[in-house]
Formats: sequence, C-alpha cells, structure tokens
Amino acid sequence: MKKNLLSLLLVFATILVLTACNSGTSGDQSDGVDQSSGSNSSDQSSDSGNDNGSESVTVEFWTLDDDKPMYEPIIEDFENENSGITINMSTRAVDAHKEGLKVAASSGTLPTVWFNWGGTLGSFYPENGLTLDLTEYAEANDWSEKYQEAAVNLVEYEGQLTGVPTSLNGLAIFYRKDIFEEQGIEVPTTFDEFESVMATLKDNGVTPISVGGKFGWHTMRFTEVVLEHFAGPELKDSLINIDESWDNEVVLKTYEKLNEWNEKGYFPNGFITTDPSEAKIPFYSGDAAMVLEGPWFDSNIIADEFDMDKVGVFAFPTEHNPQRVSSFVEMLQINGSATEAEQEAAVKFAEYVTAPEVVEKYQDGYRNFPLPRKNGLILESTPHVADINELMSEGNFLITDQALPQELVTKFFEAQDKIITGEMTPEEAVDFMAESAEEFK
Amino acid sequence: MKKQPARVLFYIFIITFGLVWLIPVFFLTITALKSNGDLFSNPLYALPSKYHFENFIEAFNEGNMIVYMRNSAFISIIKVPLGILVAALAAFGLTRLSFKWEKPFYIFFILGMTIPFQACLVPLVIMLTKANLMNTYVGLIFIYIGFGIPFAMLILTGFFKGIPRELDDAARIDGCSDLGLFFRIILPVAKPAIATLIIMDFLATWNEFLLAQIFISSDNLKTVTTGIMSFTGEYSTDYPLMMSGVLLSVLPVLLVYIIFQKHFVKGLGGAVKG
Repeated sequence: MKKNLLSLLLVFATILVLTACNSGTSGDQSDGVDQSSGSNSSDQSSDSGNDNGSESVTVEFWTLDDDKPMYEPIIEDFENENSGITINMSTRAVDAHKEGLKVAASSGTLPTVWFNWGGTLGSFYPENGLTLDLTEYAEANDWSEKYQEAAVNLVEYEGQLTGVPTSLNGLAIFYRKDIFEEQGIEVPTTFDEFESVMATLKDNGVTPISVGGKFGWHTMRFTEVVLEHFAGPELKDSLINIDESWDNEVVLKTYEKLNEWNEKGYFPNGFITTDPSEAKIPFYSGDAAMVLEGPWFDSNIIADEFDMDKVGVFAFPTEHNPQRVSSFVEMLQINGSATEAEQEAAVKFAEYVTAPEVVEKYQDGYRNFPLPRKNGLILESTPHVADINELMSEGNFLITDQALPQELVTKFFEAQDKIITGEMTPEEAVDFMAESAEEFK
Repeated sequence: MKKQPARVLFYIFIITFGLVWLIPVFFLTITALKSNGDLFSNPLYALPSKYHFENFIEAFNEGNMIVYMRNSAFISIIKVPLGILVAALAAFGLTRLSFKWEKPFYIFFILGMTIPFQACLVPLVIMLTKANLMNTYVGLIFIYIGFGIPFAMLILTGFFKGIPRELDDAARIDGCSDLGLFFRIILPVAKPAIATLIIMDFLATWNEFLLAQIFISSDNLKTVTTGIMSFTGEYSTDYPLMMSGVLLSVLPVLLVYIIFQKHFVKGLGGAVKG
C-alpha cells in the first residue's frame, strides 16, 4: 500500500516538475520581476550578450490578439536592429486585456509597455502615476513634426502625454451607395436632410440605420452626434467636461430625437440586444442602409467579402462649423516604474511601430489605418480611410465613452438604453443624467 | 393500452425539448461550414451555399486550436484527478475518522464556494508573481485545485456518508490502515461519485475562462476558452472559424461524458444524502 502511495506521489511530483519546465521554456514568463519598483518589467540581467557590450534589456509588451500577426515581424526586425533589446509580447482578447491590465495595475505587476485606448479608458494609469509622462521626450524628438496634431492631443491627459499614439480613428456614416441610388437619395448635408433620408428609406422598406446596442457604446455613437448637433461644439464639450449641468434643453432634445427615431423604426427591431459586431449583417444584406463606423470598417468589408464599390462615406451632418467627427486614439503606454533602460527601449519600440519605413514594409499587416503619423500611408484597398482622414482634419472631438469619466459613461449608456426600452421618458433620462453628473462632481 | 396517449405526449414533449436543445448546435454547425461572405450576405438560418470543411483545418492549424486543446487537455488531466484526490482525502477525514471538528471544518471548506473568483484576482496575482508562477501551467493548476475543492467535497462528503460503517469495521478487523480503508474500500465504493466529479470537474476546468485569461498571457500556454476568444477582434469577429473552434473544443468534453455518463446520475444522488 505504502509503495503504491509513494509511486503515486512520485508520479505527481514528476508531472509538476515537467509542467514547470514546460511552461518555463515559453520565453514569455513574467520572470525577472522588479519587486522594488513593483513593476513586472523585464530581466535586468547584466549579461553582456550584445554587440555593444551594453546590458541587455527585456521589454514585456501586452497587446491585443488582433495585433499579434502585425507585431511579430516588426518585433523581429526591431530586435535585429537593436541588439540587446528583447521584446516579450503577450496578447489577449479585448476584454481580457482590459481586465488583465486592471489586475496588474492593482497588484503592481504591469508590463513595461502596453496597448491602451485614449481618454478616460486609458487615463486610470496616468491618474495613478503608473505611466511615463512623454511630454519632454516628445519635445526632444519632434513629435509635432512626426505625428498628427489630433493624435497627440488625444493622448494628452491633464497636461501629460500618456502614451505613444499608434492609431487615430474617426467615425463616419458608411452608407449603401446602391440603395441610395435605387431610391434616388442624395447624400445629406444637413440634419433635416438626414432625417428625410431616413424617412424615405423606411417608407421603402429599408431600415435606415443598423446599430448593435448590446453594450451601449454603439448606440452612443448616434446619441453623441445628435447631442453635437443640438448643443454645438462648445456647449457639448462643457457638458462632457461637466462644466455645464446636464439638466439642459439640448440634452432633452437629444433624448427626444433618439426616442422619436426609435419609435419610427429607424433602427432594427430589437437592436438593443444586438452585438455591435453583428450590426454589419443587415447592412451587407441590404436590410439596412447605414452604419456609423470607423476606418477599420474597410478591413471588415474586405474580410467579409463584401463589394467595396457599394459603400460610401459621409460625416454625420451636425451643421456646425467646424463639422467635428467623433474620434479616438489607440496608444502604447509605458510603465512609469520601469527602469530607465527599459523605458528607453519601450519608447523606442513604440515609435518604431509606426515609423514610415516600417509601415511601408509591413503595410498589409496593419489592421488599423490611418496611422497617427503625418502624411501616413493610405492603402488603395481601403478607400474610405482617406475620406475619414479628410473629415477628421476639419475637426474632431473625443468619443464620449473616452471623454466622460467612466462612472458617468455607464450612466450615459443606461439613460439612452432605457429610453429605447421605454423604461425612461426623455425627461426622466435628463434628470437621471443631471443627477448622476452632479453626484460625480 | 390506456397508457398509450400519455406515452405519445411524453415522446412529443421530449422530442420538442430535444429539438430546442439541438437548434443551437445546428446553427453552430452550419455557421462553422460557411465563409464570411456567405454568413453575412445570406440569412443566418440558410444552409451554406458551399460547404467549407477547410474551416476546421484552418481553426485547428492557423487558429492554433491544436495548441489550445493540448494545453487544456494537459491542465485538465493533471488538475481533475489531483483535485479529486485532495478533496476525497479531506472528505474521508471528515466522514470516517471520527474527527472532532468535523462540522466546522466541513462548513469552512464549503464556504469556499461562496467566494467569487473576482475578489481573489489581485491577491492571487501578487502571490503567483512572488512565487514566479504567473503565466505557467503550475500556477493555474494550483488555483483551479483550490477553487475546485469545495464543490468536490460537497459531492464526496455526501456520498461517503451514505457508505455503511460496517464496511469500515470489516476492513479494520482484517487489519486495514486508514489509507488502506480509503484506497481499497471507500474509493472503489464511491466510483459513481468520482465519475460524476470527473465529468463535472473536467467540464468546469475545460470551460474555465476568467482565471485563465488573467493568469495565462502567452499564446503557447493559452487554454481552449481563451484561445477561442482570439477569433474575436477589436472591431470584428471571425464567426465561421470561431464556431469551428467551438465544435472542435466540444469533442473532448463529449468523450469524457460518454465514458463516465453511466455513473453520472447515481453519483449526484450521493450529494443530497444526510
């Protein structure tokens, strides 16, 4: 009996040792944790394994699964050009990445550099002193010459440059040119024209706009442009910054309009439970004629084997000058607690990712054009990217779910969603938002 | 003869339920066999205009499903028996060894079921980082075993209590030690409960997502659930490949169920015995 037990224990011990060895060979392990700084960054071993005889630096890099094919060859080139720097990339799906970052931030185990969104989505990290402020670096390295102004503005948070921008996205209405032509519809240039386009489409049996309302942010894209229309840029910015009370006539008008469009059937039936990634299905099938999307939608059209020639783009007519489009950046943030050598290597890598020669070489791998650099490359296969870029150059505002404090973002979603489901009247939604904003303030 | 209408109704009832259960599987299968273009340009319930069996090969190779399935299988094969052994030893101690603090200890273990994973993430990350076990199989297996113990103990304690004490007495008269009693008498008698736990624990381990997504970040260590999520992008999802991946990932669980299902219901019965 004892023999059996002993053998069993030995088997388990062997398996555990083997698994430890197995996982240890991944090369992606979070070893070399810098306990003093609380950062999970890199092995600061003093191996002089490089040509220059300088210390080797390992940069832990977390990004999205989507980016893996794009980064793999870029990292290989970067490591070849910068001997002594090793980039350990780990990827996760979108929500897992957000969750992983929050847990790592709370436990002091953030990597050296990580992908993040701008605005209040990424601001948690600079707010808590977890990121490197790149203001001085940007000045010393001519960022004003290299990057588009909008991109640099959007990575700024309370006077700090919180990351290296990697993509700049504006939102516009993608419409079915063939359906518009069939029904003799012109691209609208005013808000009233936009409404009459929707009415015509609805009368002819086509749902005007396809929306996936499941998480709130897809519906938000419409709520925010309608608010921009009624409030105008200045008042809208004041509302978003909570400098003005939300108990405002323009907010009421916005919610009334949202309610009216919903009641008229301008959105698909039951859209409030549709996943945003499925909103394109009625658009492709011709059951809906418009979607409010960003430059990535061209890549979706290609991947989904839809005819690019059937699709056109226009800015939502807010009827204000400048005609601003909702926009946001994505960036790479650098760990503020990493060592200087790690930070230097990480910033170098982050800038390398969108360097013109690298983009030129790996242009087919980038999933998210346009890149935030000035005069960046635009591919022929994604024609609407250039159009959106042009619309953005006229004016842009930070997308609401990154501009509002995150506590209020959930309230914003709740208010609009409850109007759609009939749980709140527009007046109640205004009161709800006003109270929520006041409480937050 | 009188029973005939009731029987017909019963069959209509179970066939209807069977169909309701099969509809998602049907959608899963036809979506897995479509191209993206076919999926988005034709009605969702339409059969594929062309059957793309190569989606399975693509999901398996390019989608890395082979690696994810290997990882999940490896973790499950270690975790499930080890976890059940630990829980069975604890349940044995509490039910057969006249242990003074039996009830408080039992409640202490069972209370573990009420602790949400989310509340433990940060301390666990700190612990595993200090132990250098982040992003390793071993770290994940330890956590899985810990979280799996309460439920396994609930099932096994209930079952062990139902085993007649006379068996223990007979074994002890024959000179059996405590461990001998456990391995030679109690465990073989508790086969149905063990089989039930194997199925449920394997399913839970195979399907676990939250912990795996936090504690594993390397692509070559990812499990099936986190791997399948790789088909979901920031702005789009490759549904045909994802569905192919899901169908492939179901196969091992189905296999385990088929092997152990004859003991399944019998084993669950033990959990409610006093």
